[in-house]
Amino acid sequence: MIRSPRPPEAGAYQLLLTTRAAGSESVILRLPEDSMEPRIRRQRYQKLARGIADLAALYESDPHHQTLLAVGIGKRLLSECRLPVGNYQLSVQRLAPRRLENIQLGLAREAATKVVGMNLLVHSADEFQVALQEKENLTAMVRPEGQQVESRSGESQSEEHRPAESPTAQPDAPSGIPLIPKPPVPKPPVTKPPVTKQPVTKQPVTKPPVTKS
Amino acid sequence: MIPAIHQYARQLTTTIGQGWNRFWFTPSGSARLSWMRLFVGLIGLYQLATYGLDLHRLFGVDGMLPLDAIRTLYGESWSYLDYVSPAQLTAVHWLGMAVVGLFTMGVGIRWTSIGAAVVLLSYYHRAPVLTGQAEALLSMLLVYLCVGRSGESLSVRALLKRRADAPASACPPAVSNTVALRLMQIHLAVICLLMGFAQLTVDAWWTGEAIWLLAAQSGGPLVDFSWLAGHPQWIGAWSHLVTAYLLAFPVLVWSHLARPLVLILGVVVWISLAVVSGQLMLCLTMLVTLLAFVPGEEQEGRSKVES
Repeated sequence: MIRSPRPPEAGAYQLLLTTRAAGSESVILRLPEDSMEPRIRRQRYQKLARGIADLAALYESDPHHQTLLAVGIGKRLLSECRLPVGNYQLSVQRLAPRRLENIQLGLAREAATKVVGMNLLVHSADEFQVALQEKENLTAMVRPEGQQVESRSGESQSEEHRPAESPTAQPDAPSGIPLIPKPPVPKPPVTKPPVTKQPVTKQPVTKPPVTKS
Repeated sequence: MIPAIHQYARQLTTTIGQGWNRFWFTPSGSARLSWMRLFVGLIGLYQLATYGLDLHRLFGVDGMLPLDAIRTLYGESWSYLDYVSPAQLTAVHWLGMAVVGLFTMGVGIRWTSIGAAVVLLSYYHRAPVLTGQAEALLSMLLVYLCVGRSGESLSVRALLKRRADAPASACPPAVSNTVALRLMQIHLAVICLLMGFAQLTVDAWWTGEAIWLLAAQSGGPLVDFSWLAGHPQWIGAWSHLVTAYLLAFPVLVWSHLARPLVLILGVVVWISLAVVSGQLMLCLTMLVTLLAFVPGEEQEGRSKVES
């Protein structure tokens, strides 16, 4: 069942290519990379990521159009990275600026003294994920993680009103409600070991000899 | 009674007609258009050069943006890049850069202006998902620069003329310059009005938080604005100033008395927005477009027409 995603909002968007192996998820590629220069290139990839999120919201009832562009991007990235056949996932992550009204002024000042540059400002993130099943047979499903991830200041950002917490708290792991349930990973057919029927040989019932007393 | 009405109607139509003709058809010089052509060309060259860093990844047949997907999602738009094979792409890209380079230098401006518009629009149409407000503004400027005589000064042609000691009257004011400038002016006024209206639909611009959201964006601002968090009044004032400017621009910019103030304020607003948002292309293009409102030689042309 398709669930309506929230429309994309302001923030810096980025593409993440991840793989899941042995139950753990690792990021293979992040676009734009922080070191990408000049700035206009970074902004282009941010627009691209934003475009994927926009399409996810626009074609909420049409999975084909929702993932059409994402599949193209995924194909290209997989071929660039020369990755072996496996399970990959393309995600769009939104790094949203923290809302001003929720900032405790003291905390903001403390954060401002700790961070260098704006890259480490507190953020929340949404994720729109596209599962790339197999390298050779890409079928994409959009799975926007409707939640917001933690900020660097450790404040829960699920809603407008959130309490200020310790700025050193670690971000929570993303969790959310999938827009489209991830396609079930095709399981290999379970082959039961052949049951070899052994001939049942009736054991002769040997009655104990009745001894007459 | 009827003669009075007749006279009023005649006076009204005459006044409107004269105003219309003065607005659109008073010949003006080409200096502003030449400056705009130079800046637009440099911005276009920069865009193309940066496209070149990801040329095959973004525009290749097997790139990130498959043609059929783009056309399905964003509609049909013509682009010569649709017909270019991967082997030809690099050569075609350099050819496009050469055309825009000639346009920037003002060589064969009648043809290179059209060529530059075709080149840059082809990139925008091939990858609409990568475009934004800056590209929309630049497209408008490129098309209108095809109308005016933007190669009369600040160009190779002007340099050659100067060396040959050609008389100054070789570059007379032209109606086409006025038409191009007026189209840019009207277009910019409408864009500012729509940007202002768009801001009115966003809560953050009403509450005054919008500038903070730009300043706190990851990798956005050019300098660290985190200290602004302690000054919400400044943030609010800054946000409201931007909205007020955008809404007032289409009204006040037509007043000769208010125009200098509007232009100076525009420079402040767009430079400050460039610093706080990091959207250098948009703000630079806006500043270039403001040149269309800088007082130029149309006064001279008007006096010549009237005399």
